[in-house]
Parts: sequence; structure tokens; C-alpha cells
Amino acid sequence: MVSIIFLSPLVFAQKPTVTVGSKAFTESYILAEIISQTLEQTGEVQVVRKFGLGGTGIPYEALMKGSIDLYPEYSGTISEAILKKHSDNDLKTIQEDLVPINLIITGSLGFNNTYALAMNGKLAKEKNITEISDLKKFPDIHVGFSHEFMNRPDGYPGLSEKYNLKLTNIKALEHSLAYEAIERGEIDLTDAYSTDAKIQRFGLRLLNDDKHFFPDYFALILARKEFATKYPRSWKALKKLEETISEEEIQHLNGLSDLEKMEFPQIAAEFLHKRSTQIIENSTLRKVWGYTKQHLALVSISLLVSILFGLPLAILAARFRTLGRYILLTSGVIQTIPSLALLCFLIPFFGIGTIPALVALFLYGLLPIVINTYTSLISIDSKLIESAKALGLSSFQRLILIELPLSSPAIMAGIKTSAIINIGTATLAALIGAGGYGTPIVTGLALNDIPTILQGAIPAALMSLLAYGLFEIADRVVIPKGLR
Amino acid sequence: MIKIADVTKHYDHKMVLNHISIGFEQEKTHVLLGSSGSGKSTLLRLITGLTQFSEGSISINGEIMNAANQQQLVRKMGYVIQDGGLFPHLTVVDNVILVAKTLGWDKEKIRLRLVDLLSLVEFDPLLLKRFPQQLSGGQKQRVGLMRALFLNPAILLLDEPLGALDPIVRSSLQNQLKEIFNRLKKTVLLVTHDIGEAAYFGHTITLMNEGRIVQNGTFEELVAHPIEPFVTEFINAQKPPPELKALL
Repeated sequence: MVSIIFLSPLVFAQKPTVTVGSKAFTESYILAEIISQTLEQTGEVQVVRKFGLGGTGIPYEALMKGSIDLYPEYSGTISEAILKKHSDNDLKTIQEDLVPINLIITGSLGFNNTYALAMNGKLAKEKNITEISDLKKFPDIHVGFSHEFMNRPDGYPGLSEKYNLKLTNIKALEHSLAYEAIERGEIDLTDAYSTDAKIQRFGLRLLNDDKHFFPDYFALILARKEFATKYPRSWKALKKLEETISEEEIQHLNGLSDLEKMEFPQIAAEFLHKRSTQIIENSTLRKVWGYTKQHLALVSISLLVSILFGLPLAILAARFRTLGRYILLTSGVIQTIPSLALLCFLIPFFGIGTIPALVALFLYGLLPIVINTYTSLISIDSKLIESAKALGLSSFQRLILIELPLSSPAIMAGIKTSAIINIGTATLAALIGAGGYGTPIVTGLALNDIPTILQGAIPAALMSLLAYGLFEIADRVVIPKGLR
Repeated sequence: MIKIADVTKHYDHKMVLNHISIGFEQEKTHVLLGSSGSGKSTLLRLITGLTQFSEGSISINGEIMNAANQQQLVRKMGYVIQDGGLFPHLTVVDNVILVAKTLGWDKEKIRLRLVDLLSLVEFDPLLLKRFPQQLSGGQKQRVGLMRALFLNPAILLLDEPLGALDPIVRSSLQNQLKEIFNRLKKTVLLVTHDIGEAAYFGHTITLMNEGRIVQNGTFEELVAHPIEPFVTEFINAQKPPPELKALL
């Protein structure tokens, strides 16, 4: 990794870099890859890919912060989730509204991927449900909605109001798992994107939006304004993608990924009528090794910093109890922030990538170390502390010679807990483009592809076991024999 | 000379030491006697500076103890508590030489001092590499004593040093301690609740009750001329009952 950092300015000295983002679902990956390859073909810029950046919030924040320069977005999402407008969403108005925040869009890429409700085909036929209004007769139907759909104003809350529809049996689940849940009969209805290739595959029926609630979701490219002005040739090339991808075309491309397990670069290349020979194929083993290096770096650097800050904080907390209460409270509160939310909070300060991931992991790693060290320090037998004082040892000598060694079993346990928690939490770092084992997990979830998920999940589990073993050895070195 | 002048100590609004004034002569063994809660251990801890007091002053050989000189004064004292107060993460030898090492003594000086102390307290050198939890109660007490004596302090403070030992070990260590005290000519302050132990060790006995000194004198004085009925009561309480005495 280091060598790449050093080499890149030399090799690509004449070409500025541009970062392309994507959300964490198939279509977004494919569009982002099409964008990236188009830019590469144009030859004006060097492309950095930061794909799989979670839902709408993360790529948008990253774009505003300048961590990415452009990513594929949908007109409906821009007006609802970004501009917070609930009615007008023709592209011209959207472009005008984006001017003050220095963003720019292309025209529609050619298809409308709107939200839709997809229902178990057999059941729909049986109950004769063809449009959303029909659902009012079956309010207790089993529904599984994605987290995003449950919470967006243009998702279920708005739909429920518009149709005066009160479904009583809803659970929230990861979108990519919904189709199989329908097939297993666990749910009967879910939210879907109208371009999803799986709708046909699983024999689902798209319910007609008879009151036209769902706004248009034209696929387009959302970019920072300076990108278009700085790289006019690239922008022109991207504009040429307008109206080139029809609904049938995108369903086909989505199907290539979701059903035929073809890789995104190949799909994009095929769409761009370019042979895939140019794309360097990485073997699975090499990819996993790459993830391993990133994951190891994330976990070990953040753990080291957690120790460097955690130990002194715990010692301070044990020495000054009032201050200690605030230290413990703060690190406790940090721990309760859901990891994905913490990652999002950090984007405005640190952008996306490795740095915010390290900061989040460092913060998560703090509590187990601080709590264990503090608790152990304050519960040392007071007789031993008095003996040390009566021997004339200074406060610092007592800390180094007596208190820390006596607390070493608890301190080591805290560090071990931190490390193992962080190996798990670091898989989320992929959502903000920090790489690691989360990369195949996020991609695999988007594709509902278990082998890809396992490429990240199994090594992460192995790394936890390995860490556990290493700490058992470290215990023997660090903890004095008399305490074992 | 250890001089306690009008010392009062409160603990959570309770007066645990009530205007104590007393002096302890050099190179003698003084026993602080009393039941638990009488304030005898607290008085000992005040002398080490481990605990603060509300009023009065304490001086060691004319030097009044304060926050600035506490650490330096405490090095002139050795302090031994009931179960030895040994550090469980250190071996016997590391416990004993800990302070000398922090003071930067050279290895040879440490070794010579260790050899002296081993023969003084009759401790088996083969046990030096053991950890405290692998020792018997009597062995722990000997290690605690070696550690307290390592810097050759003029004053030795012992808080119920024999309290946790079984009777046979206790009696042999009692004899040995007395011999050590006589040989080293240290100013010894020993806290106990055992009247026999007090009579055996003490050149003077200070009987305490509820945070004040009841009487200070030799054992014979306490028996022959009790100041208060409490003195006789305390002494008689620990005598074996007459019918048992006939059997002994």
C-alpha cells in the first residue's frame, strides 16, 4: 500500500485523480463502474473507485465534503432526501435547486427506477391484488420493508398517508434478503426497485401505483460543480451517457450481476462494448489477502491508539474520581452510538475512507480498556497500597511498580475485548470506503451472494480467533507469574 | 523519640482519636494495647503518615511531620501489618529488595543486606524465588519483617504482626521477635489486643479505649495500680477462668 502511495504521483503525475462513489446495491455499482470506465476511456483523469458507500446519506455527505467527486443518483432521491422538497422533481427544477450547493447533474440516463411494491405472485393472483389500493382489504398481510423505505417520507410513511393504508404486520429487514424471505413464505410483500431483475426471477407481481404516489426516480449522475468545469471533456463524455440505458437494458445488466454472478467491471465493459480483456482479474485469494492487509491495518492502528489514550485516561479517572466519572460516562455514551451512525457523524469532519474509520474504531476500542483498567486500579487491596506508601514509594513509583502490574490481568482482558470487538466492527468500515473484510460483505449483501459474503465473514472470524490466541500468549509475557 | 502532641482524628464525623498526647522513648519496645475500635491501629498509622489527623502534631526525633517530609520520614520507619502486606505479583526477594532498588543501591550492597536479614529472621533462602501465596503465614510475616528492616530504619511499627498465626507458630515467632528487638535496639511500636503478648514484649504498655489513652506504664504498674476499673477489667477478661487454671 505504501509503495502505491509513493508511486502514484510519479506514474500518474500528469493525470489528476477523480473519485467515483456508489451506493451499496447492484445497480449503483454497475452505473458507477460504467461512469468510471467512461472517464478512463476519455483519458482526462485517473479514477479512484469508492463503491458501496451505504445508503443515500453517506455518498451525499462524501460528495459535499469532496471525498468523492460524483456518483450515480436518482432524481426522486435528490428532491426528497437531499433537497427535502416533496412535490416538484422535474430535472430542470432540480438542477436549479442544486446550484446554491455547487452540485450539478446530467440528464436522465434513460430509465426510471421507481419504488414499487412487489408481492408474492401466487398470493396476489389468489387474492386478486393488482394495485396498491387493493391492499386495504388485506391489512394484516406479512410485510418486510427495507430500513430506508420504512423511514423515508417518500417511502412507507408517505405511502400510508396517501392511500390511507394501515398495514399491521411490518418488519424491517435488509433489502437484499427480502426476495428469499418471500420465497420462503416469511413475508408476502416488500418494497422493490422497478428495475430489479429478481422481480421476474422470483415470480413477483409489481403492484400498480394507482394514485401515483411514488415520484420518478430517473437515474442520473450527481457531481460537484467544479468537476464539470475542471474536466469539461470528461463531463461531456458522461453527458453522452444520457438516454442510453433503457429500462430493459438496466434490468438485463442487473440480472447479469444478481443472477449470473458476473463482476461489475465486466458488466460495465460489456455495456460499453469493450472487451473485458483489459480488466485485470484478481484471484479470490489475492483479493482476500488485500482485504486482510486493510483490515489488519484498521484494527491494529486503532487498537494501538485506543491503548495509548485509554490507559492514561483510566489512570486519570482512578486518581481523580470526579473527573473519572466524566471520562467513564463519555466513553460509555460513545459505545452506545450505533456504529453505522457514528461513521456517518464523522464524515463531515473527516470525509470518507480510512481516517474516519480509524477514528470510529479508536472510539469504540476505548471503553473496554478504560473500564477494565479503571475498575482494576480502584479495587486494588487498600492494604497493598498502604504497604507501598509505608515503604516510601512515590505516587508514580506505586503506579508503575505496584498498581499497573497488579491490574495487568484486567488491562489485558480489556485490550483483548477491544481487539475482538474492533475486528467485527471494522467490517462496517467498507461502507465509508475504508476497505477491509467489509468490502466483500457489503458487495455480497447487495448481490445476495453468499460466497462473496463468506470471503469477508470467514477471514474476519479467523482473525478474531487468531487475535484471541495471540493475546493468550501476550498474557504470559505481560502478566507477572505471581498473578496467573 | 516519637512525640504525639494533642492529636485528634475524626473519621466520618466520629472521633476516633481524642486529644492523644504521649511520647515513646528510643530503643524500647512499646505496646499499644486495646480491643478493636480502641484507636490503637489508627494511632500507629498516623505515625507512618498514612492517614491524616484533624488537630495536634507528631514529631519524630524532633522533626515535626508534614506533607513535605512524610515520604522521607517514612523511610526511617519499617511497617509490618497482619498478613505481611506482601505484593502478590513480586517474588519474595523482589518484595524484600524493592525499595533498595528504587533508591539505586548497587547489587552487592543489596546482596549483603539480604544475607544479613535472612539469618536474622531465619528465613530459608531456597524460598526467595517463591511468590507470597506459596508461603505459610509465619513465612509471610518473616518476609514482611525483612522488607520493613531492609533500609535499617530506627523505628519499627508492627500492627498485630502475629494475629493471623496458629498458636505454635505464633509462640516460636514471638520468642524470635523479642530476640530481634533486643539485638537491634530499635524503637518498636507494636499493636496488639493480646494481654499476654503485651506483657511479653512491652517495656511500656499503652492501654487504649474508645479513642483515648486509659493508662500508660509497665505491665506491673497496670496490674498493681490501675487508674480506672477498666484497666483491671481488660486484664482479667483475658485471664483463663479459675477452674481451667487448676487444670493447667
